[in-house]
Amino acid sequence: MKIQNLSGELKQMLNEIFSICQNSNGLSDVLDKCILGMSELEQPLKIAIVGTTSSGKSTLLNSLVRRTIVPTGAETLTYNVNVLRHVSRSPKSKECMYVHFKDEHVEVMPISLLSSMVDGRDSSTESLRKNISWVEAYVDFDYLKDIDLIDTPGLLSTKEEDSHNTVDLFNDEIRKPDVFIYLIQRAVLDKDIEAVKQFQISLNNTNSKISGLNTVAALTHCDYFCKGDYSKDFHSMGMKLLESNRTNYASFRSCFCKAFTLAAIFAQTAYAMDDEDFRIIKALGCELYDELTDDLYTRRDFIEDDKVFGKFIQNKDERARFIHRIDIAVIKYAIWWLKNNPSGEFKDLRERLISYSGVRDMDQYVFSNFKRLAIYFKSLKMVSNIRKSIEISNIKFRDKSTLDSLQKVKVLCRNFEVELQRSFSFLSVLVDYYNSSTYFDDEEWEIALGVIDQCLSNNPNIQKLREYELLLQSKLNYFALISDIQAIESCNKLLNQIKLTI
Amino acid sequence: MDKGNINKLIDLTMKMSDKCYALFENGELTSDYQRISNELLLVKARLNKPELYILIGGEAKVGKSTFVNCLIGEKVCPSSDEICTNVPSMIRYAEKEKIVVHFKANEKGETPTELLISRDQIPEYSTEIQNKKNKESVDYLEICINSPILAKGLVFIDSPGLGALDPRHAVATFEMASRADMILFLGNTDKELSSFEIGSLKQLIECSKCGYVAHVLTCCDRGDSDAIKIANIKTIKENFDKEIRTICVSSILFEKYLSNNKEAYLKKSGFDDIFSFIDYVGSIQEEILCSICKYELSIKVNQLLSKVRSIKETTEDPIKLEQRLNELETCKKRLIELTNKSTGWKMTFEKKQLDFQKEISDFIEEKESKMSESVDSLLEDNDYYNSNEKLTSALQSKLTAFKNELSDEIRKGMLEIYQSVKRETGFSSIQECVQTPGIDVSNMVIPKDCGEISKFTTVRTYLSNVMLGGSIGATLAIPTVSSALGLTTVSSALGLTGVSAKIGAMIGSVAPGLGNLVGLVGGALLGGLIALIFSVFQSKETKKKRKAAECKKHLLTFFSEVKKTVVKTLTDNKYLLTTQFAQELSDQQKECADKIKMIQPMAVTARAHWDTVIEIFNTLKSLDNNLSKK
Repeated sequence: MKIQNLSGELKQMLNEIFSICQNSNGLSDVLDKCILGMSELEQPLKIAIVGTTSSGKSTLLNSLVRRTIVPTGAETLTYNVNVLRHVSRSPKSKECMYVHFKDEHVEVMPISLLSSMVDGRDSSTESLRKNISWVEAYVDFDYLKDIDLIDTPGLLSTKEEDSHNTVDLFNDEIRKPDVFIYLIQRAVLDKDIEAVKQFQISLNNTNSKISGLNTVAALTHCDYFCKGDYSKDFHSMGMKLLESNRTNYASFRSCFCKAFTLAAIFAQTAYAMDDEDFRIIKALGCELYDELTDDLYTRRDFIEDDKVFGKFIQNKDERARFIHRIDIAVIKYAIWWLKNNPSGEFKDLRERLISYSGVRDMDQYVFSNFKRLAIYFKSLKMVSNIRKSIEISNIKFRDKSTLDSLQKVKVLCRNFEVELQRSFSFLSVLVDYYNSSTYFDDEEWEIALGVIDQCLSNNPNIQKLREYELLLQSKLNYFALISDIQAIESCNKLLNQIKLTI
Repeated sequence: MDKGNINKLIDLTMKMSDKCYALFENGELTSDYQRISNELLLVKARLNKPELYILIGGEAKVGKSTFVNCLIGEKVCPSSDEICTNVPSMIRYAEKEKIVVHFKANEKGETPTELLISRDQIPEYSTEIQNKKNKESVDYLEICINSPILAKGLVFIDSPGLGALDPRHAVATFEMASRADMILFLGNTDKELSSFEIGSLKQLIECSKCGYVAHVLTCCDRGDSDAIKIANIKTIKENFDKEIRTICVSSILFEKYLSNNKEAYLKKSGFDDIFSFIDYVGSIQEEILCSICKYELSIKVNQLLSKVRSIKETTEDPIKLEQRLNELETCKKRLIELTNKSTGWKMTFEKKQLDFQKEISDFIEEKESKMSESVDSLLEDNDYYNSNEKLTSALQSKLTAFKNELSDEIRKGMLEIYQSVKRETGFSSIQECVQTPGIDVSNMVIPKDCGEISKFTTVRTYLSNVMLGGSIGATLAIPTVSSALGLTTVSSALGLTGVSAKIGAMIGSVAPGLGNLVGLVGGALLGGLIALIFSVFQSKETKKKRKAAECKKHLLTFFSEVKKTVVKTLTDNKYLLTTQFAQELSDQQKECADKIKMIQPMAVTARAHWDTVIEIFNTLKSLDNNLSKK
């Protein structure tokens, strides 16, 4: 059984159980569990974005769905948990949102109200907001076809209810996330590690050793590192900081399987900007390059300065809206970029902004690698659920045919579980690899997964395995060079698996 | 109350404390009086130092070092995005630049060493990157530089900050905070105050007992700093009783001011607020210090007073004196009792422990035989018989249950022993710590090839069965022979003459041979058949038996390991208990002896030096009155 094919195998097993149960009456419990399991399997990957207050959770969410759908800002804003889903899963099959109230009644509202519903600043909706438990928004965006995005209120806020709202998230089966993106501001602190541990415990993974596998860390606001000099690569600077945390602290290694650096505001703004905005910035840039890049202007100066800004947008309200939509840092960056590319086009700038933000890299990594793990965790949970319901049914029924069917289902489950356990032992090899002090980068992850898949499959491709063996051998040499004992050990484990299979 | 006054009061209190020490403690090293005297010395030093200590606190990586550099206008503290300060620095004025590394006192208690370094070497001692996890064991850095802002007597303390992954940072920060007269707590305008920051600020204030705190928001040139400021002011008001000022600063604008000297930049940078706040606090520095020291002093005076009061009262009051003497009497009795009974107690525990060990080993034996039985019954089920993996997991789950039972059993038994120890000795402070054996059930694995019979054995069984068949065949041939004989008899009995007799004889002579042949062939065929049946039927049985035997072998090795582990654990447990018992015994004996030593002379000394006691008491009382006055 390959991890990648897990969902197929699982479906097959569920189908078999399904047919067995249908033929004998009275097994509705087991059947229910099966149907539930099937539907859960169909569920998209649930990614929760968590972090302390103002760490940029909503900004990241906006840049992932490429439009400004939730309010962002430096103050404590997001009040409720929001789940973003694809419009095709909506009962109304059009963009709308379902507001779940604490007294369990649900109201359907147009999506345009989302912003005011969750914005802690908006006093007009305050009384309403206090009674909202969570908001389910259906958005027409292809990205959401395979993914549910969950935006959460900040942790460690001075407003107590915020933390409650986030904690509630894990008590609810429908909203329980599969993957966390934990946002870190400035540096990894003790409280961050504590919070992550808490989440991982509340998700009650079967094995604490692999709990870190479903969490990635992202250092946000990384553009601050550049301080006006945009030629510097802030990603590498942020990475250096994370790297020192990773090498020094085991607690960091056990919490996060991968770390990224982000400046999500760049992506959010890039998607919000249009040609007209670009034109204004371009005109501004020609006049103001020297003064703007040296951090003289604050946001408010910018709006109030009639001399500078008034030339381009006369109306004060419009000016405020422009500034609200386009972050001052992005304007500065755009002007810097225009200076270096005088003939630059809007779409180039947008592309630059998006790749500059680092959101895309993280997104790809999370999506491609975590889908498989999520299926693994789901399968494990489901099989144990089915088995539990069999235990109960076993006591309830006495007639032979039902008991026979139950026995069959039991055997199916047991076989499946044995296979899962087998792939699980490979997973722990992977975890060892993760926990080694060097970074486990994309390439290594691919190699390790490839090795595992090959070793697990019924007809392993010997040639492929030999290739992996060579690759791992070269990695091993590298690890030996930097004398990273943990990495060497885990590398050796993988090599042993290959040798065994061959 | 002014500084001179407080100094005098401190001196007086120290004198009283020293007198008490001389009277009642006979040169004890761990004396309370001496401790109080030493602490008073520290208070006095704090009061009389010419400088104002300003702690720069805040969450890790908030920009404390950058802020300090900005304040003094020179880049002395290493600060950069990927650098993290991990050792506090004390920055004070000196005409000639001097940087000293103060190392921590080592375990041997030698005096802490110092090292003179140059400015370029600072990062080698104060940053996480170069001095990883403070492996150099630096206490703090003292940076003396010629900077005009420091000349007024300001000392900035750049702390490593709170909340970092390394707890050492927080420890160092709090150690520094205890000396601070004023705190500048840094935050960032990119987010609101978190509950964590509120908590750490509260701790810092508690630790320093200083009266003046400002919340400094950096990077106010960015984003919505006003909105954040308003929100933070509200949060602070809700969480703190005392007034905490919020000041927004921008180091970029301040640097601009330094380069072009335009007043507008200074105003906008917010640093003028910081300076005026520092000036204000500096102007009332003496007042602040006096109030802090007065508070500290009054605590010490109260501690002394309560001690002296109890001495005085016991000596004065006949009832209390009686009580003291009774106390002395009980102490003496208890000491004798402890000494007499201790051997008896020890023996009882030894016996209990032995019984318990026996009990546990019986328990394991019983479980082992049960497990071995369960192997047989498991193998009856074809499911388990066919898959060794399943068998392993079934056995493992049984073993897990066993393991839990065993742990429970051990815990229960040990707790009983602990309780009996406590009951009999009255040593209530003995901690009930029980270790349970760490048994790894996953060690018990039935290997894949277990129970399979080698080819050689199969062939041998087969052959032996063929031979068996042959011999049965031969046995069956005997009747044939006899029937042939019978034929001869019959033919002769017919009384035929000549030819017929010959024919009869021929038949008679051939018949036995034929009979034998038929018998052997038939026998061999039969033997083959039987062998076949045996190999099908009997080999399954044998296989099962073989498998069971092998499994049991595995179980045996597993259990022998378990037994070893259990014995070790029990010995460990016993060791834990006995050391605790011995410790407690010696502690109690020492306590009794100490008490006797203390109580006996105290009353005597107090009576002998009654005048001095009264004098000390009255002085302290008036001191206390004096200090509690507003």
